[in-house]
Amino acid sequence: MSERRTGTAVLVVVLFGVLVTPVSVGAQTGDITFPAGTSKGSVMLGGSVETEGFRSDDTHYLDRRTVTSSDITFDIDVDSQGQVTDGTMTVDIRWSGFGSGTTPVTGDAYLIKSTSQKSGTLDLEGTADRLVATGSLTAESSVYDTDGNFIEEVSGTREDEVGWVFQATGITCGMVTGKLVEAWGSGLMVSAKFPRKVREGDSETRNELVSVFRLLSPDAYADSEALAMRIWDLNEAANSLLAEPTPTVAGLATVLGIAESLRADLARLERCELALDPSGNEDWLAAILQSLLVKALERPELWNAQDLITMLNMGVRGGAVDAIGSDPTAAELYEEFGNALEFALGEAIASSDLPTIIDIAAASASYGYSGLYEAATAAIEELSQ
Amino acid sequence: MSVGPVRITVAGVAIALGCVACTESSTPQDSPSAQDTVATEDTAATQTTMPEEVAAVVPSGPPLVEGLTRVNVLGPPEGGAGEVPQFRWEPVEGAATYDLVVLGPDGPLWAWSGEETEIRLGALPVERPQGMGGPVIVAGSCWSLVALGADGHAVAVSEFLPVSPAEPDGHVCVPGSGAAPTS
Repeated sequence: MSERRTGTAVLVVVLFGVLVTPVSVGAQTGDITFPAGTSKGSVMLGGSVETEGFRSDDTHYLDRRTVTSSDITFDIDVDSQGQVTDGTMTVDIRWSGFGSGTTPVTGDAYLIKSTSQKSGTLDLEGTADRLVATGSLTAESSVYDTDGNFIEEVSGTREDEVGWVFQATGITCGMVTGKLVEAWGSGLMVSAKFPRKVREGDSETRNELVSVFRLLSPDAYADSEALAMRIWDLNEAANSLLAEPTPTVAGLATVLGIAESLRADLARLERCELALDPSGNEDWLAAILQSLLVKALERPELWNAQDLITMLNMGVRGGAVDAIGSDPTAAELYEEFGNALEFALGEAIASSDLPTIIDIAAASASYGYSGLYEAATAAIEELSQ
Repeated sequence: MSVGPVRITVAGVAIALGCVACTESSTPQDSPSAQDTVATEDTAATQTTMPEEVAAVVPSGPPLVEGLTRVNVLGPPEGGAGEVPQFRWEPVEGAATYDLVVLGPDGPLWAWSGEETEIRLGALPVERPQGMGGPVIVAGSCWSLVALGADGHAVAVSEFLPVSPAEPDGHVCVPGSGAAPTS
């Protein structure tokens, strides 16, 4: 048992959606309600799920599934009470799989790849508080060896019954955002509802999730095409970055930049009448960034101090990093950035890299890392003598 | 834990940095030189050459890191800054970008990085519309600015400055620790 490494499962799935409507939003009670009329929306599912561990016979396995594309759009008709009277969601999710390990009986090593797709049309009903998509999706999977040679069509074509529940959670100007709150059936959408961290036997699971609805006022609707384009760009950028083994600083900046451009587009609208949650943060953006930053900091040794400071800046800017515990992931990231910078400081001190030590001192002073600041300034003093 | 500013010698840093940030003043003509700034025993008082009208409203505080050229901040004032203030500073010669951080009583409130020399909290290009969410300044906040050269290293820093949405509450900002009440 002593040589047996604890298995780790990493689940990073981001769900991101948009709802565009041609009519204004009712906000009589402060609750978020869908406006009467026909609305259009989309959902993005992105990220990866990785499970590593040991079977009961001590053979090792690794399984990783990465979303390669998600095209999920929907239309809903809403009555004057905010009830969805009719709606459909068109789904096309594709992902790749990678598996490695040792075969239980023979002990031989194996390495396989797979591609999968789940598509179909679901029915929608409910309200902004509980928008339920149910129905049957067609699932297909194929398996290849690492040279790309087809091995077998694992599942053929089968029908999977699924249920996904979304909830609107906040409004920024003319844009309502929400998230996946429940899922049943099978597939990555269900995996996306795993808790961020779960340890079960030799397994640990981590998960990041966000979903977004956007409800646009009549003025906003006039610009919906441009906004939809921006949202599409954001979906693509986030999904692409989430599919990478490790996000890049430039990729993070791109996602943040598009998100802020979208926000600026909304702020420029002639009217901004949806004051339901004026103090609300954009948790959808924070969740996307958190997924990316968590992934980035899994390997802190990849980053130099300047990269870390840049990513910390972007994380705080996007609401993904915070020192207090109201958002555990944000607080955890704040701590992890501190640890990573501490490691970087140690390396900088070892190499007498004064400019980097000064960078870390400035960052630790700015972001409130008192111990790190103390260590960095002491190192500056020592090197300056 | 409260950590006071660590004093370092001007010459020491100048030598160690190859005088990149010290002998080539990156502040405007009417700003104190790096040597003048760091040689001052209490750097919180180093505002002598700023324009009178600016000095009247700009708060002061300890330098983020001693020994570096100082960024001359133009606003916001310490008190009455509003919930979504505009941050302004004079350009720093040799700076490619600026990193701005707002630290609230419970941790970072907001951060920004860019080439501009003024930015509104939240980075919207227009005044934030009523009803649009986003970060807001709270009492007991501190902010700071780091000017970065093209190589990504700091070439100048601001002081660590208090800012409050309403009347000044007298808090001081301690680098590394954030706001502390005045003694």
